Amino acid sequence: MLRRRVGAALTGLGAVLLTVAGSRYTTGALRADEARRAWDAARARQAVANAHAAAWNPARSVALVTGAPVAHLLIPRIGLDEIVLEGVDGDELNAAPGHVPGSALPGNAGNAVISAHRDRHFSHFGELHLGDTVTTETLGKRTNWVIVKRQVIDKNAPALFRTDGATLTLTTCWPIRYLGSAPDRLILTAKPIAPRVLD
Amino acid sequence: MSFRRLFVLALVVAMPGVARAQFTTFIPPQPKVVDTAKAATSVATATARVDTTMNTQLTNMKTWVDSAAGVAPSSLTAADSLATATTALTDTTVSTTTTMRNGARAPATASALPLIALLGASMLSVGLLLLAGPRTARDRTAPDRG
Repeated sequence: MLRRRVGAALTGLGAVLLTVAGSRYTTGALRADEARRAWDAARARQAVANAHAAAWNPARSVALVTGAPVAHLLIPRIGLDEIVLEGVDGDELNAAPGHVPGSALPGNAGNAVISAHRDRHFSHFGELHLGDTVTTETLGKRTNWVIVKRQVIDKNAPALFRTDGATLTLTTCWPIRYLGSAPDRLILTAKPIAPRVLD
Repeated sequence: MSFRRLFVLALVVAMPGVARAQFTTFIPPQPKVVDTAKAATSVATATARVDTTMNTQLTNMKTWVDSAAGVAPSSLTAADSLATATTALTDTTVSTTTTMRNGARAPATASALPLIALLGASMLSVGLLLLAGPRTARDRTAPDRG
């Protein structure tokens, strides 16, 4: 009798935990889809606007509102193709990689910082090495990057620094396969190869 | 007329005069002398309390004076971005990074979801095993109530 009660309790509690985790993952996936649709719509509007403008107008850029899509991140080596949202709070990182507010937009002068969870969008981040390429797209600018620095640092160590030239910093938790709160951070630094204006 | 009546008549005539004499000694209060210097000081103090710009200037001025005198400032103003950046380099008590600051830590990308999912799956599996395990002798001998 006790065995059945314990079994029922464990089954119930396990189902609740699985439901919580599953709903969180589902919410993130739905929001990522929504962000991709919004990004595609913004790209379409941009294309129409570019057809009327002879040159790209830097003032016509995406609005940096928390939760809004601000960039497109592609890393061919690990098959990553994600829309980046503005902000690195729980809701944003649950849905997509997040752009750290206050940092530069990818391709612009300054350090652009993008972070994501190691158990979701950056789950294969550990497979990236020096020399691998990364591509970012903002509205109007596509930039190819090459990873020039890879470091693992303590989670409390200073990691983000302003730079004069265009820099892309990608961060996630380390180790990738770790249960609980990871003690370290994996920091990848990339430099632009050849930025170009999108048609 | 008797002496008593004369005395009452004298009182009736004399008393109002006495009473009037009491009121004629009234001395009107002197008008207050306005201390113009004191009033100007209080007005300036009130203005300084309300005028945040002046407050900031005074704070900055104090900081500048302290720094010129070699005294470390006791507090930093929020608008001083340089001071904020300096603080970020040494501050290790901030829990998460949500905005870009020079020397800030990497954003907290740790997630408990994998652990929660694993715990849930484990509990569910063990629970189902316990529920589906071999029935005890007591369960087997229990009368069928169907």
